[in-house]
Amino acid sequence: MEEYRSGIIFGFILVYMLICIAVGLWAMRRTHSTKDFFMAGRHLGMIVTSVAVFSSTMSGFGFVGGPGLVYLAGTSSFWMVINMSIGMCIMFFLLGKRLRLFAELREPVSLPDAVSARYNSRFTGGLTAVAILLGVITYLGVQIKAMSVVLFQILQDIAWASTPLQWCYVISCAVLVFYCVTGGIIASVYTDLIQGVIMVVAAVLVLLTTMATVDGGLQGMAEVITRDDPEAMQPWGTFGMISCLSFYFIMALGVCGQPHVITKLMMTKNISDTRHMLPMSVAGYGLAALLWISIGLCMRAVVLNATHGTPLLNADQAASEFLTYYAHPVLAGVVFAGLFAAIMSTADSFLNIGSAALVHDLPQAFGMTPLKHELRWARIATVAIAVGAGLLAYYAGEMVAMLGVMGWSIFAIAIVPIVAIGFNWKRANRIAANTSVISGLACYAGLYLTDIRLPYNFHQGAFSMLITLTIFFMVALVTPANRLDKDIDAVMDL
Amino acid sequence: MKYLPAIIVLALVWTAVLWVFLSFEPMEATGRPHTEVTFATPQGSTGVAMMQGGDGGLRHEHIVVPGLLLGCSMIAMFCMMLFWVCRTKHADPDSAGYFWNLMVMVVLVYVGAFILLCTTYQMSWLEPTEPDYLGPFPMATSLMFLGMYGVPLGFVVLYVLFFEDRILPQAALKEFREIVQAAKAADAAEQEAS
Repeated sequence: MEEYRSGIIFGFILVYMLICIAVGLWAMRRTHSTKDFFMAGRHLGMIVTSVAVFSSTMSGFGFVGGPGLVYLAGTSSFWMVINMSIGMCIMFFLLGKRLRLFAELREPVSLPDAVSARYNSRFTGGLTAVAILLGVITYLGVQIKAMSVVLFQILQDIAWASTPLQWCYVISCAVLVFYCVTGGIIASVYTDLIQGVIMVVAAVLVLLTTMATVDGGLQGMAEVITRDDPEAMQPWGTFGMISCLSFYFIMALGVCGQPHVITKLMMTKNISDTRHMLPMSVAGYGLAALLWISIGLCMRAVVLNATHGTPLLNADQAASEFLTYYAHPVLAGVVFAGLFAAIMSTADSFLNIGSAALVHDLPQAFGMTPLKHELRWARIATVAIAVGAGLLAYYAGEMVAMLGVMGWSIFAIAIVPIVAIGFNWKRANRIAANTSVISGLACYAGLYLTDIRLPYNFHQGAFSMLITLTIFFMVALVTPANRLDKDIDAVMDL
Repeated sequence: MKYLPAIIVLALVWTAVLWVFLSFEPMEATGRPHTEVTFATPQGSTGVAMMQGGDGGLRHEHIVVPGLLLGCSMIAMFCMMLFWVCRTKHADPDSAGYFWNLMVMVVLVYVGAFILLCTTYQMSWLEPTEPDYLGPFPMATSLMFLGMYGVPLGFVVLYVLFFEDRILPQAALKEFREIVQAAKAADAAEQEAS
């Protein structure tokens, strides 16, 4: 079977792509309006939404970037995973009920729509849309980069299919665009479901495989890594305590600001579904994270104990190298298919919220009348965003995981205060919202673009989020509260 | 006075951050390239895709207290947010004490686990190459999983158990239905008038 490994993996991916096309076409038949395209008609069940919530959180960033970061820095990146129990709690406690109530009351088709309603300000909604667009381009770039890197690796092993990396970018963008343009958010959510199930099953199987790869299982890996560098296996890894704590901060609190995750809370059929969605999402994420942890540790251990021929040329190759050399071909095929599922469904969510921002939220913010054929324009916008993100991904030199953290940070800085806090706090007003978004993003852009390294590598995104939270809170305290619409005012009391 | 807890927590986080920023940062405090795991690049130079931490004591000795304060104040901020949204006028007053006690208990265990993880890690500096194991990982790393991932699961349990009391009481749901009906009626009347 080994000699057919590449063919088997390629076969699984091909079958998966065909399933995606089928899901896209099926979803297209169920997409009749912008509400369907952007909000899945608000008819999603509890299980589908729970799986969609955790699987959109664990995207290509988690599949490709996660193991790569463990290979690079040992346990440091565990802080990006273990935050999810408290992060999801914060998200569900603060937003699970609140966003769903807003969704039923005002029927928004996007997050900026809900923000406009909450603050009674189109400008604030528009500002949110701009932040979403910025984050979407970056985060979508991560997905495309991850997909292209993996596709390139797989095709390299097949003589007749070997393709230059540039073409892998083109193929990845084309597949994503077709999939998203046809199916909208409905396709994304149902692919999330397939991806979630594949991920959980694959993560358990991968864990078992990694344990069989290194003598002594997980403890064996820990011992090999400790012998080389004890710090890499201690809780702060190679990055150190402050860097890890800043990751914990931005990731735990930042999950409330991920539009592709929190908009799913607006899509459920019943409000009470959030009760059981929280444990399901946390459990699903916990299991899927085994993949991140186990592959990363295993690859670091096999390189250090010289089982693996040569060191990895790039940490992002950790997952694909593991699957290519150590996993059973069928398992590798399943995981690669799961990886493509993860990337495609998350990318689809991004394309979706990005196109909503472009054709729905920004025109509204500028006081323009709604576009005539909004659904058609949404599909055109999808293509434009995918091309933009593809170019960014190709020309950005960063690792998948670090680019992912950047996208995550942009969303967190802009959205956490105005949505997670603002939707629960009547005193929050539009001056506070606008000031905090602008100053937070300006701070992050300033730090990032001028390449200012904070002491102990305190993450620039975490620092900017702390600034944005403080400004939001302080400005809201010292400026008068806005008069809210009667229904919004009443709902915020519940 | 109402906002005092939030102001205190924010002040604590900022104090910790500024303390860290003003602390001395040793060389390689955030890792160094692994010099033995290298590869040749096409340009003829040597590439590295793996980092090492080095001496844990040396690189952390200046931030033991501010780091601890930073972690504890972050946890306080997270938990304060959870406490804040659990206040509802529709909650059952009889079970209030029970609920808040459980919440406080989870917070204390959460903070305790973090402090324990930090102290266990510091103890490992004595014999870094032969750490004590708890399960498959060095003790401090296992405590990280159990404490920082495991303990917040207590909030998940409380969310499920007290959902109808603290998150979405039936009375609140009923009130919401009335608000939606009133909003729809107002919308319809407005449309008719226009």
